[in-house]
Amino acid sequence: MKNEAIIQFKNVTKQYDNDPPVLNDVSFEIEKGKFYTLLGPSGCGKTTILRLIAGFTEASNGEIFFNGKKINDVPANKRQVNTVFQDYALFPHLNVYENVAFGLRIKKMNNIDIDKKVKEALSFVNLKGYENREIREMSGGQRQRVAIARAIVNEPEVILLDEPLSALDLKLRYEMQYELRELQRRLGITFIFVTHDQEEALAMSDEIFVLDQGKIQQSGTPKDIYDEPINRFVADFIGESNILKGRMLDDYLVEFVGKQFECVDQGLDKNEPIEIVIRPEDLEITTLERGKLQVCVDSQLFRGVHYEISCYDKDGNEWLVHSTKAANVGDEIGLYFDPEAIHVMRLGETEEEFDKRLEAYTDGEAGHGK
Amino acid sequence: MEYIETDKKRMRTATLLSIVPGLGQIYNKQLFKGIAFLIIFALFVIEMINFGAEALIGLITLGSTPGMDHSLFILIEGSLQLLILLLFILFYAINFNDARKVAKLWAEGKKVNTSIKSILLNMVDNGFPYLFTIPAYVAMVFAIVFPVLVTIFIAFTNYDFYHIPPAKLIDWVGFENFTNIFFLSSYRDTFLAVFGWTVIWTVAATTLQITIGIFTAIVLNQKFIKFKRVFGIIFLLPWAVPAFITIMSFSNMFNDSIGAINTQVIPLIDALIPFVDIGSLPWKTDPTFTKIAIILIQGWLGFPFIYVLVSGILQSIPEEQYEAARIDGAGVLQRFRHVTMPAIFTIAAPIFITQYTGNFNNFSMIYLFNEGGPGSIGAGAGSTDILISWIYKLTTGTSPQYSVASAVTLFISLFIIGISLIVFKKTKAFEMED
Repeated sequence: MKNEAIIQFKNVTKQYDNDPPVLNDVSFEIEKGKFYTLLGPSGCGKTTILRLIAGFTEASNGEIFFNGKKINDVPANKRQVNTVFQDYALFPHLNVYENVAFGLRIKKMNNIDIDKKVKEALSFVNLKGYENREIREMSGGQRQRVAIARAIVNEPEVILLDEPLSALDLKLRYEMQYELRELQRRLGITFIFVTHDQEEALAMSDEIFVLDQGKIQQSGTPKDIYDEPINRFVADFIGESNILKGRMLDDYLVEFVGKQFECVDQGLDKNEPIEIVIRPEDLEITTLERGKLQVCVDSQLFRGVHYEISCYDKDGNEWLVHSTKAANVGDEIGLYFDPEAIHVMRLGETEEEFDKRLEAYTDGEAGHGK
Repeated sequence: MEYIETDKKRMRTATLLSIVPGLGQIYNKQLFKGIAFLIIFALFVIEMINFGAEALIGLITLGSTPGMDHSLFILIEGSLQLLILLLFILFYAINFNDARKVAKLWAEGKKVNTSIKSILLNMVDNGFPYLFTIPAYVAMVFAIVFPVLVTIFIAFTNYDFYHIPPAKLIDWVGFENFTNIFFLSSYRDTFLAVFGWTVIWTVAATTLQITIGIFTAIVLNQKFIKFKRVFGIIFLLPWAVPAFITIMSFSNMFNDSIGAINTQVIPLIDALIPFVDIGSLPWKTDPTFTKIAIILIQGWLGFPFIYVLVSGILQSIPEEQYEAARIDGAGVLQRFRHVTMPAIFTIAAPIFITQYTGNFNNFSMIYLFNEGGPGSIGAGAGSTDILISWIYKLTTGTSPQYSVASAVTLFISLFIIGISLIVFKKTKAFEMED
């Protein structure tokens, strides 16, 4: 069953003067009631998408639909969209209550309704009893919640969040990640969340759009994107990866670092040059004999959850290993991995082709009756 | 802490002996400190005998023989002596306190500095901040408190044209000057008229300059304006030219018969706009027109400062606040009212207040434009005089009224201090935030 799309971008381009486009021919759909994340490095165009949805900038080309209606020329306040800003953009001269009530007062709602709605919104973000506080008396996390309350009080269909957690310290950020996710489920409103923090994106989203250089590189569930990155950029941006050039010898057989390995990919051209990804946590330290790769431990960092061990093979390729056991620097060790750990990426593959290929695997598996 | 009888007696003796400063300290075995205190005491006694006593008596009588006693000098000497006396009383209190404290230390068996070296060391170690600030405080007492004190005293005398020393004596008259200002018809009418105009002038001129300043800053902050720098420099020009030159130029331009306004500007307007015939206006001979001219000129002179200030504030308002307001449906005017104005006022309110108090005492604008004229409304004041220029006229001219001028000065000070305090408290501008 397919949910209805609440926001739709059709070939949207945004370009300032003659600079290279900030957004280049982007199309996507956003479904109702889900938590979306736009993920990418700074300057990738994610904030531009947000501003296009909010109505703060106009697209140079292409169409934007909201509930099936074209909204390119609809002003910001007429859209069923509200924004939570990075620095919250709360009004410093108003207290918590008045900040939340601001939009309702502009709409000339009567005081009784305002009071009811503001109290409701504040209790939603667990700020009951903070009505009369001044903004400067609130901590960063509390301000964040006021900003969210101010957004939800207007009952938008979509809430845009522009890196709202980046100003918070680590501990609070984790807390707010849970709270935001939880809040989104309770409200059932579509959230579009912008961040450059891949961990945040993986933890919170139903769906992630990875952006780079004005294009959506890949979209999918956090698990899809982590396990099956489409290209080198996505593999590198989402988590740590070992990325190497290789060659597809045959179905289920790949060659890299001069050796042949069993894999689960098929349907590629014979001898097609490809890139492979192996996640550091999929590499297992073992004896030289048992290892599929023989490497020398170069350095090691203790990361708390695991050790991050950097190794080099004799061709000079770096292998990053995450292991809960420590290794000795200078030791020769073997690295073992399963065939499933190898993820094959075709060069210059579009998202459509990529999806088709992945589907073919699962169909193939079903067909083989595995 | 409980003290035994001998200790209590010791402390009492030390304190009692300190009636002559130094003796208490010597009794506490602090010979050096005691001698130093004794010397200060001796110097004060000698000063009192040779000069002080007479000066204090003079402050009460203000002289007795006309021609011989110069009342003004006697008043000044008396004020000076009063401050010296106050300083000595402070020293005297410290002396008592010190003797008691050291005696207590003895009683509790704690260490007491008795040698010269240890006393000096203790002074440098523990009294370091005081050692450095005391000279500044003493200088402040004589440089700031002293003249203020003399002004206050003069407000309670009859120092005027008829009582110019040394030919005549000045006398204390109590609150007569103040009662005259508020109740004697000749002064009261002038005072009320001048005070009323001062308030109107302050409010109108300052509000005008703040309005123009905010307006220009906001217009120039708009994205569609080109050549912002050029306009910025033009707006700053009124500020760059010394105010008194500008005022004198305007004074000439507003001249009734040959000024540019009446001979060129108004005829041009008359010629350009059909059915408008203003004709020449009595800018300098009709009080109402003079007042209008002065207020307009002050608006012109005063706005650049506000423009600079507000420009800075506008750039510090985050764009996101406007966007947040826009999402909520706030229009241009509502964004101005709910985002821009609060930002400007929370930051600039104290500066705006100083603009008001500044214009309240804006002597040069009033005096240089038309010398407070035209005409006279009695007691030396012209029809456009404000309190400060009236004070100037009271103290200069052919029949000076120093005591009334002092009284008016005190009134201005109290008025401005009062208003400022109220407004500062209300605006929260001085609430410290972390």
